[in-house]
Amino acid sequence: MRLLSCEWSKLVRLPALWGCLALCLVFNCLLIGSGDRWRWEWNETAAMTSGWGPRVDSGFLDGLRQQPQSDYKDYLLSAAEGMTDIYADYDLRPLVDYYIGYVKNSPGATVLMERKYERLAERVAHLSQTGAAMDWYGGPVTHYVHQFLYGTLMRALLTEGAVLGMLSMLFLLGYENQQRTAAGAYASRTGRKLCRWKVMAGITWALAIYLLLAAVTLGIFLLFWDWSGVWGGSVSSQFNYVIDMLVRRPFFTWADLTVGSYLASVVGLGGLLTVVFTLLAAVCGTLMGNVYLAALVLTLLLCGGAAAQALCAQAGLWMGC
Amino acid sequence: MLTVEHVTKRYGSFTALEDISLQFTTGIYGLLAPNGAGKTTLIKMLTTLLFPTSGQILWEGEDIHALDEDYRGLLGYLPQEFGYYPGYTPRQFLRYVAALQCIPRQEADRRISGLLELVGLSGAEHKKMRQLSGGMRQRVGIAQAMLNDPKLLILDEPTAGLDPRERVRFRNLIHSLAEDRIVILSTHIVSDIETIAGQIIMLREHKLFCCDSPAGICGKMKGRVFEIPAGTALAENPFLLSERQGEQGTVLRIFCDAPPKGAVSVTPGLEDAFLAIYREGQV
Repeated sequence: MRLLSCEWSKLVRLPALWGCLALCLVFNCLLIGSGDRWRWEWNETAAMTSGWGPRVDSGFLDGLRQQPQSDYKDYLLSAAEGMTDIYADYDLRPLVDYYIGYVKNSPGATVLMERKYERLAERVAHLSQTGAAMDWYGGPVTHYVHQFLYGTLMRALLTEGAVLGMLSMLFLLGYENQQRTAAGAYASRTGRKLCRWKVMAGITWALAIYLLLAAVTLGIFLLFWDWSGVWGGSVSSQFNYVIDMLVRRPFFTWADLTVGSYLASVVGLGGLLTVVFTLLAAVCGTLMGNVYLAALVLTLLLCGGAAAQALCAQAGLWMGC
Repeated sequence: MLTVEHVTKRYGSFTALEDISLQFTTGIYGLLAPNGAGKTTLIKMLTTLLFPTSGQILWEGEDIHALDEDYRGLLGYLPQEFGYYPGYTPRQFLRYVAALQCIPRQEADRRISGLLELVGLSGAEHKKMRQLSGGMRQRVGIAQAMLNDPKLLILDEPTAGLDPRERVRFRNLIHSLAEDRIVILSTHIVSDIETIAGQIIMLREHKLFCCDSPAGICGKMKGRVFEIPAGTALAENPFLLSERQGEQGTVLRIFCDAPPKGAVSVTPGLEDAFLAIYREGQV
């Protein structure tokens, strides 16, 4: 444990890391600012609907009707009154046909795809039973805000966490060689087991940095966006949808997730991905020996992965994005 | 007791050390050889940083690589280029080394205070290492090597970059530390070990040349080192060791088997032996 804190202390003393962290936070603030076009709508919706529960029922509608008269209230009311259980008669067939048609040349993939959509059909039936579609979430603006939060802000957070994690790991693994303390350290009682401590320190540090970034960024976001009334609602509300292959689809999840638990899951999975990327850096750093070479290989590996995916998509071997 | 048994180290076709056999018991051993003779390779093998290509190194009869951390736990090592963390104070750096040596925190703090006192750095313990002079940093290096109260202390070129006053201070310090442990001191500076080493190990052409006391090594040169005024005609071509300014002008110090006419036989020193053994081109 002492060695772990010693390794952390090397990172804490690295001004460049704090500089990067500050830059990331500034960038995230700018990103939050870029979502301002939906903020008024979101906050106004929250002001009119919070307190009536996440589910659009008679109580919710009555509460909304009692709000002071305004064009925006009428707009929300019409949206709420027009809600139906979209999962009750949701037709998965076009989606199933499209994807099965895509993999028809591979019998194995076809079987897997069929199984997947059988499971999805069960999920849709379950969502209909729970009435998830009737949850308000953020009302008509939900799709844009959800996409902004998870498609833009969380993606930036993930990238920043992974990059800072990888840099921290490479820094730790190369530190002794850089300071010419490697011989002394490896001839000590701990010896080369020091590398294990460095990897553990790098992973925990990366996770801590990611969580710090997430906490501050989401904290600032929630300071300006009123999410107080939405946490308990289902994330599969009918206002939440995704555009897939130019087709609008509801936001299915494989488990029953509220808005709050979905955010927690995404933050958690982001942490896991940060750990995976940091471990990748640890493998490169350990195998290469030279920290700069390791950074180069890591960059090539990550860029090469993206390029390979694009090339495979062009060659029809991969569906791509 | 540390035993080196027929150790050879090769890098591809290059042989850095060949068939070295040595035994170390309590006392100071000077590892004396010119640069490139294999001193650092031998030391890296003694500190488990390198594996021998053949042969083995034993501590109390057990292979040091099999002993692993038990061996390294009784080893103190000051590498040739002693690295340090510039932003740390000597105390912080020594605390880190204590953690590496798995010394409990309280015991480490007690030992650190004692060692900083011993190496004369009590007044500078809160200064950043980057602010210390080369000599002060080297003293931190000695303190870190002594932190675990090692049974085997290995110092690789410890006086590099030290001024003459620091050198004397260092020699005295090593002398005081060597009472109950093996100290192996690698250097190419003869004066570092001439007065303190009980045994001198010399490597030549990547092989063990000798392991003897300074007196023993110098004894072999007896009757072959002479001083002669500069300008004296010499019948044969002796090996020039050094020259100095005498009362009647420049005096040459030469090494040859037969005394030239007018030459005065002098007591050979370790430096004479070093220069004679490592004549031009002989490493």
